[in-house]
Amino acid sequence: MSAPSDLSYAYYTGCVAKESTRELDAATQAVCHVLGIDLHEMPAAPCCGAGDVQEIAPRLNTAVNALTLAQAEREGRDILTICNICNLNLRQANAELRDDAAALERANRALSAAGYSYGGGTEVTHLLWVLYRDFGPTRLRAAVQRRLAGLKVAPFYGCQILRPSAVNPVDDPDNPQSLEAIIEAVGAEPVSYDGRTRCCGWPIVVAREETAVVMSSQILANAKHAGADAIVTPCPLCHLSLDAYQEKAERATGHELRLPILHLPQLVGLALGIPPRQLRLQGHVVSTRLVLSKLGLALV
Amino acid sequence: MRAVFDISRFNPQTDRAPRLQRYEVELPDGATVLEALIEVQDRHDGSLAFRRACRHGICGSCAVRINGCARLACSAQVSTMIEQAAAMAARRRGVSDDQVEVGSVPVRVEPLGNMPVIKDLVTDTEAFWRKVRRVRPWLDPADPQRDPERDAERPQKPVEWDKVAEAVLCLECGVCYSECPALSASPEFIGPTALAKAHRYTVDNRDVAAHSRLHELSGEHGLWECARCYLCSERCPKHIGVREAITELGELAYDEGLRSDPGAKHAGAFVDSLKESGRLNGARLPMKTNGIFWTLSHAATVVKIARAGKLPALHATPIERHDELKRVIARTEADEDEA
Repeated sequence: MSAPSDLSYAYYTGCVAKESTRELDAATQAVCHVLGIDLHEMPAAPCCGAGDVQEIAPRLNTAVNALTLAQAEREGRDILTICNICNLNLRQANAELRDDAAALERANRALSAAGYSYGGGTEVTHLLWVLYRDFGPTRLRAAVQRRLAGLKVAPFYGCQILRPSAVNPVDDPDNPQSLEAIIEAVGAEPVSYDGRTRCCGWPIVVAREETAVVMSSQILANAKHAGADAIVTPCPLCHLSLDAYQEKAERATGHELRLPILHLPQLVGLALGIPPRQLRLQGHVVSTRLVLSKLGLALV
Repeated sequence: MRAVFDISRFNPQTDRAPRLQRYEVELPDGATVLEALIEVQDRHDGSLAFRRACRHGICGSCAVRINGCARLACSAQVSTMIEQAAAMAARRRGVSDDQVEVGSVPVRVEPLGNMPVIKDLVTDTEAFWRKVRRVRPWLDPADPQRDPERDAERPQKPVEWDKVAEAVLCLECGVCYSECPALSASPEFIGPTALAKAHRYTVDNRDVAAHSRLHELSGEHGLWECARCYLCSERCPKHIGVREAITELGELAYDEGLRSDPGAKHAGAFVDSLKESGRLNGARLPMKTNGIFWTLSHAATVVKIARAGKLPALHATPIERHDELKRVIARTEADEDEA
């Protein structure tokens, strides 16, 4: 496919897609390659702070994210994220730097120690928004090699790509539609269930595991009850919450769930004809075999 | 304007569970959902129970869930809620918005969440107020025994007022409390309203109870149980940054040396790994948050994660040009020390 020249980004993988969800990085690169979305990795970009650094060291948080924004500005590219939390933290820092002259001055004093300055010119976007708004469902539909017909997919947005809506302007936070539009574009069937805009509990899963597992288990149980074959999410932390902790959710609800949790680019990649192994569908805690067998595919 | 409502009805003396009852009402253009409820009560069904007082977004009495989202009934336009009901139905049915006729889907009105229902739309707010009172939501002056000037005037400069100007608008309407998912999962969690109140008084220059209040909030069901979903900020009818206030409470508590909660340790571990390598050290995070015994008790989970190839490396490789980040951090900290 010919590459639309404007879809070229500084690619901010975030920490989790380089560690516990490497399949997300692999699937993103494979999908963007096929769709002609140019990705330029940012190997010198630091962690976004995940909301934790913001919580106890807000000025450090802003300065560190200003470095990431300045690196992209120097390259002349906007940033593409693949994680709700990276997306929100970079966007919050960017809004602060653009709106608060004193904050920008402070950050630039810190950046000057490393030979950078930031002028506020970098935009931060997410893979979901690029597929939905910039590439668009129409072109995506045309790029599909293998319609995922018959696959029932429950969309799970996660919180931080919807709220606060002042920082996340793409979807209606109470009635979003971008994930449904992508699910339909790849030929699968979006499942309606109570839970798509709920919180998976991830930020407190280590510090308050019981509370977090109650939160994730309700989402999983509702999606399963509504007949989903899989859940798809644009966030690797929602993925971990729903996938790696699913056994605990089963214990909390007393029901077997075994619901595969797909990353957004894995779902799209399957429809683009990318081999499941290249999308690293073997790299999940909850087996994805049920999804693949429904599509007549194997993990080869 | 003709409007159709599905209103939650519940009488504890006769009903086992709430049920939705349909009402069709004729309303003037520009009517609010509260005016619709009054119309239902006046002309259709006098037994409908709901709370209301001021009718213009000041008293906070009439908060209910409309189309599943908590808001003030007096500030919700019926016409907007009819459009929202149709758009939500379109998503549920998997069709585009124009395939659901506006007006064909009833507007759903239910009581606030996270509170027991007394009757219809009236909830029991006892636990809500108990939690708000726990943070001592008033200006605590200096100890009268130690401070002979206790009756002195306590002036506030405009920049100090700015810190609380947003939060004083809180109506105590219960909207944020209703929507909080951490509270639904853990009913003893102190919740967003009390935390926003605590922040409002803690950052007020006329208050001296910061440490004791923050200590109170650093316990098991305190500020570190917030899951950062931002629903409180999103729904607040006065646009108060509730989650943002909770974030700042975390910083204030940490700066007061209140760091023993796993949530505080979790945040501390992030700062440490950011400084050490520029990236999250996912392997050491659980250990630093909950200690070695907790981590060992999760061995079964660790094995599963390892088998899927998801175990993070014990030592995070630093980001490229790590020196750049180090210099940015050093300059930020030097500037902060100076200030």
